[in-house]
Amino acid sequence: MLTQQEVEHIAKLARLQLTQQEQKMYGEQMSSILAYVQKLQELNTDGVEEFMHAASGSNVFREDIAQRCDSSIEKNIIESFPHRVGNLLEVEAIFDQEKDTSYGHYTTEPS
Amino acid sequence: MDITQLNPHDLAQKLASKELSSEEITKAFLEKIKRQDIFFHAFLEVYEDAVEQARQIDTLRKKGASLDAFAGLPIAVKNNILVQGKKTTSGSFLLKEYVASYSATVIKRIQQAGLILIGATNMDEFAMGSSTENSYFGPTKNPWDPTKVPGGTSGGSAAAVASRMVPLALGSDTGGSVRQPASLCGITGLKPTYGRVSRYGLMATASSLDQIGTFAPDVLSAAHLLRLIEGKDEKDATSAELSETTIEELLEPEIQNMRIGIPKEYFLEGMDPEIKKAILESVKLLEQQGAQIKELSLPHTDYALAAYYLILFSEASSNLARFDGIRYGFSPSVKNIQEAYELARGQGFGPEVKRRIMLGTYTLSKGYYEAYYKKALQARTLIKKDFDEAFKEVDVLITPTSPCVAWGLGEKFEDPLAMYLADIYTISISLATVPALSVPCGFSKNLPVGMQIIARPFNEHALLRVAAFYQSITDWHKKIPANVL
Repeated sequence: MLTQQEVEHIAKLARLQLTQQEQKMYGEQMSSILAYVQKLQELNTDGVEEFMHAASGSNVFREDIAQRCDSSIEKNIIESFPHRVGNLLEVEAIFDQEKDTSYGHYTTEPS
Repeated sequence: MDITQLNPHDLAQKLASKELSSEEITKAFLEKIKRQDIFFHAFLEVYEDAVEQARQIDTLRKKGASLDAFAGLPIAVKNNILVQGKKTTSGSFLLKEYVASYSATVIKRIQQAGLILIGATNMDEFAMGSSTENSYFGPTKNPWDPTKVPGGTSGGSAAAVASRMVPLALGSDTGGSVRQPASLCGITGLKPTYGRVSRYGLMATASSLDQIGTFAPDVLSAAHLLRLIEGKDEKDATSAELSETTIEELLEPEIQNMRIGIPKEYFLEGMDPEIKKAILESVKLLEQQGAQIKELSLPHTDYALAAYYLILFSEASSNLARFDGIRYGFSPSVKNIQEAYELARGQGFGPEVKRRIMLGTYTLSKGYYEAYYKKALQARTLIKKDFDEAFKEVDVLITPTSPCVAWGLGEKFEDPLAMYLADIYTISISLATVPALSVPCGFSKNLPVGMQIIARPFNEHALLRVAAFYQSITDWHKKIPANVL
């Protein structure tokens, strides 16, 4: 049975903001689903390879040459971005900045 | 003559003989959608330019251009397949306004073949569900009984074809999402071998399982449509090089000495007796016509559901990480980046999606990866081996597609596990990457029963041959719901 803390932790990892009610509901549902999948522990998988390649099993390569995207597609993508300054796409700041003047550089903390 | 009741090959013939134009055909289906879709809600959008697309094909035909047999026929597309310039929502609030910047490879291929994109169909949000009830836009109703679900996640496409609002449709199948709604709606639904059809432009659910599949009233049409979309694509590294295939021989199908395997794990005590009867009678019919039937075992079947869901949750949680409240148009106003992610995702996703993301995040997290995801991958290897072994002895396998016929709207909705069990017959096939299709084979409680036919990887030919033969000696696939006007 998942604890409240575990549910909160998973929600944080998944970047999902959940209400208290949702946390409780998902906690219960997840616990029952995880109980069902425990069934797999019955299976002896000693020495069994993990299924890694749904396709042919070999990697597909191409030359490491930049391939430009079709310009009409590029235009569509840029124009559909909600916050822009010209062709620059605006997003929230990633780091909280504290300027450490004695060393002349910024110390940063992921937010 | 009701144009909408003709199957794709008959329509193609009338186009070739110039008895009908694409414009007439498209208008007939548009009329039907207008009349019928208020009852079924199969479509999320009907394209206003469909008639114009049709006129262009008619012009090409008049000029004597060499056209594919299906050129000029309307097709509906599940709304998780990108169509440039059109809203591609994946049934989600988060992508409600998202307009695709480019088209999926399969879309480009069907456009090149001259098919008319008539509209986008309803689906469970992000292709997660078994009934199309998880759509942000409301459920689709089963044309056989509008109080029942059409199945999912490609419920809209299946209902659209079943009610003859469209002669052809594309869907996607991760664990049964083409086959199961085909079964519940009484039509033919085909899932190709993993890698046969490019996934470029299909919004990813579980990358090692997803495939685009075809819906049609009959096997020959579903096969023809597959031919138009299949084949290697540089843009999809998991797509395979295919050897030349033809479907002409399917027109005179043969069943003599075809070896058909019946896996005993799919016919357990307590299964719906009417479904069992419909399948076994169909098998008997094939036997009478010359097929060899053999009972065999797929011993790891019992572990498939657990393995499937672990792999699905894990891969889907990873694929859906891209929805960060910054890209794809859904950006609630926020104080900082953390809130951007959490609020957008918390508000943008529906409950089933959030549930699966949570589960997948957990199963991939440190300390749990070995017990869950890794174990599931090992189980998957064993499940695939079961199929490899079976195909040493037989050419195809036959099973029911679904353990039940269409259930009532709302009936299973509150119980996720009950919903997951609805996939029990289709998921092993997805895990094993093998091709399969569902064809209608009878009724139970006046609702369609589907028979699943399975073949080894890249042997769609055997699959289609058995299915085409079956449809040449039965007429379940010709039945149209009484509700349909």
